[in-house]
Amino acid sequence: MIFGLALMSVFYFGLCWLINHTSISGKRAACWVNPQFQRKGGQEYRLMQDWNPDAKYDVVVLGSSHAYRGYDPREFAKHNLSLFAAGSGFQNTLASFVLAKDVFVPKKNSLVIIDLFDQTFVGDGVGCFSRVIENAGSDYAALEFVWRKPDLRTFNSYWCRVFSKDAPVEVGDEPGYLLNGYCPKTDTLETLPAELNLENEIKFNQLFANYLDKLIVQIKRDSAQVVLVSHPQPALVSYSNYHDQFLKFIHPVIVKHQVVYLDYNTNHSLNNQEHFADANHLNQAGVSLWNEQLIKNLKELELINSAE
Amino acid sequence: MLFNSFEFLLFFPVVTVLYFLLPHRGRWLMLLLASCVFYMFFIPYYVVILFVTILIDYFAGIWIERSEGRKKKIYLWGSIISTCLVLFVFKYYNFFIGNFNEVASLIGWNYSVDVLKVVLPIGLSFHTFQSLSYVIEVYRGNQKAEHHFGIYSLYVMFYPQLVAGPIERPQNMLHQFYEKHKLNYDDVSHGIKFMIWGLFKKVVIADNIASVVDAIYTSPEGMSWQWLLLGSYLFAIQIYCDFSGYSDMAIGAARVMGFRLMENFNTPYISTSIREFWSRWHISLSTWFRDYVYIPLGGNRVSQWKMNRNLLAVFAISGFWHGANWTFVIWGALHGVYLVIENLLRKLSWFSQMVESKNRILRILIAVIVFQLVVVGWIFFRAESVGEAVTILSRILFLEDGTSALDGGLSMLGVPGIAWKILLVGSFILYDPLIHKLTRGTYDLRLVSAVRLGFYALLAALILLLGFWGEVEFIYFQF
Repeated sequence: MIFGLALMSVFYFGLCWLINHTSISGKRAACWVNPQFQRKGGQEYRLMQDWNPDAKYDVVVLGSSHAYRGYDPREFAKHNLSLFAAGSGFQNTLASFVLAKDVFVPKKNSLVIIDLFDQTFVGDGVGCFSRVIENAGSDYAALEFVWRKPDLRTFNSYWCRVFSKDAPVEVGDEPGYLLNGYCPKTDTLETLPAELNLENEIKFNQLFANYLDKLIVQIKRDSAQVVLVSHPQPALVSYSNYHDQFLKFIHPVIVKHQVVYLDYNTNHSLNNQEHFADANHLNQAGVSLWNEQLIKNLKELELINSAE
Repeated sequence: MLFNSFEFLLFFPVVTVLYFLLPHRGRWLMLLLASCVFYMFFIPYYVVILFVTILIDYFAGIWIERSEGRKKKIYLWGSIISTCLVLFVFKYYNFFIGNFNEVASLIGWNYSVDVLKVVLPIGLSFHTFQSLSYVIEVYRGNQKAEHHFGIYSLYVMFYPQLVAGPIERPQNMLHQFYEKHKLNYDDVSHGIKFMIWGLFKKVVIADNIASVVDAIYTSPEGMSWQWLLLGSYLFAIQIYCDFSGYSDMAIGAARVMGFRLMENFNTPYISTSIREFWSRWHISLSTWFRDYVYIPLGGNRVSQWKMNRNLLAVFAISGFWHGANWTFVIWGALHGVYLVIENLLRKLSWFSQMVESKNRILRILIAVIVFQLVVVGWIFFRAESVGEAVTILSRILFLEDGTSALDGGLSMLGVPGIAWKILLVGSFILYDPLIHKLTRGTYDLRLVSAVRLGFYALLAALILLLGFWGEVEFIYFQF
């Protein structure tokens, strides 16, 4: 039994080394044989490179692609505020927790915006970890994903990271990447997205509510302020139903921490065609308009100050 | 709970260790509770539906045994009808209502019946058929009615085969729950080999090629014939690896505890006739239909015309068992047609000689032809509608050009990614028959034990590293 396990480990690490040291068409073989293994580079890599641990950002945004496509550091700079958009693809609260703890650690008195995208609270959420594990600036953070979410996918991603340390960057920045994590979309929404199929009750994963709770505690422990924000969504009848179920789901966490929650999800005056790039993201025109509104609201709540 | 889940990785050793630690008299209860936990991982309250069918057939079995003549028949049919009624409500009601509504609108009758908004209980068709086989066998006098309610419940709910078979017979299973199984090296070793091989087929082969098949079948209209053909071949391998992989894991998990489940697959794609294919594919279902539908209808003892009619009916029903959609009915009926034609051709001596030939090259050629016929059936099985299946089939037959799948959903995988999957499938076709025999101990390469161990260690490493892990269900769970 022990000999069998030892032999299996030898094969496992041997194969892992092999697929990470063989390149096919400019990509490690690992990325071809299993989509759970992600390429080095892209948005997550750029984020880690651009984050300056010594700088004090007034505002740090955590969350999914909403976080890196919907918060423009230039809009905040107009109010003398520095912003870092630390979002990554489909980042859930577990990933935000690990990143806020080990990588994007906020400085004292800064404001952390947790962008709540309801769809990241559904499913097991492991899919979003691979790219972060592959590109995380800290080995400890990568390992913590394995510890926090014991799953073969996170385990495999970690070992791929270990064996691909010397590999060159395989994919460039996201098209349109600007600065401090911000990567806007420029398209316009030509056709309305299809209504969501909401016949059954949505199964939100309690794990992510628990990690939202832990994330708020963690940020407060760093003496930073927290605000929860839901990014605007295009007007869809079914979306408001979806979001209503989500609000009920996270309500206990909000009540527990008495944290401010700014919900712009359906509460906005943006226009589907003019201000949205697709079914989920604002375009630059939408971001500019909405950020102005957000900054105004944050100031009214005295969550940010600026020396205008 | 899925066999390919992290939860099962914990569940299986805990249940197995508890099974051997507990005294014999407490084992059934632990297995029953474990089976409930296993089932309740899907939709917890659906265990009540399962309980209702268990209750009906438990009492039906006892009453059938105690009665004679007409009364006995009434109990049997009462049990069959009420068990099937549950299946009908959850699985077929919406199909009939949908068809009724369509016909009503066609004839201009402005009346529409609402469909039910219910999720099909997982594995309902499997445990319904297992329950039915119990009452039928009791009726026939081949099996004594089980008076121990717990043991009977376990017969229906035994977790390895609860949600996707093999569909067991009471004669094979019930007595095993009374036997005192001891921890046995041979059983554990064989069981683990089965589980490793089954898991490899599921997570490395089936789930790996699923992305290509899904991308091709999501929007087949306008796709070139080459891609449609590739997608159909890959689906044939996917469904085989998915379902036989599940069966192997079920057989292996039961074997570790000393239980013997029936074989469900025996390398079906090497078959040299459709008849042989059905003796190798989903054996527990095909023998169920043979024993409880085909033979009672007269089997081979009736005239050729009636036999052919029965074959067609049985296979169409078998297709309908798979799913409430015309695509499944046509898939089943198509196999019925194949068998009728094969039976007619077998009357020609040259055909019989060819099918029974021992010539290897000829056998391979015939197996390739049989495989093509099976793949045609799989197109109906996989397509969303009959119209879509016909479109796919006609595009392939008339070699119609169209867009490349790489322009759509497959662009993310890239050429090397798709080539890798084809390589994976190609090599699998070559080594599957050999490993099938090795895992069953029907063939021995006479390798030293270290090499044998190394082989299974390599398979396990490949499963860990190349397997698709996550919420990927088994195709047959929907049935």
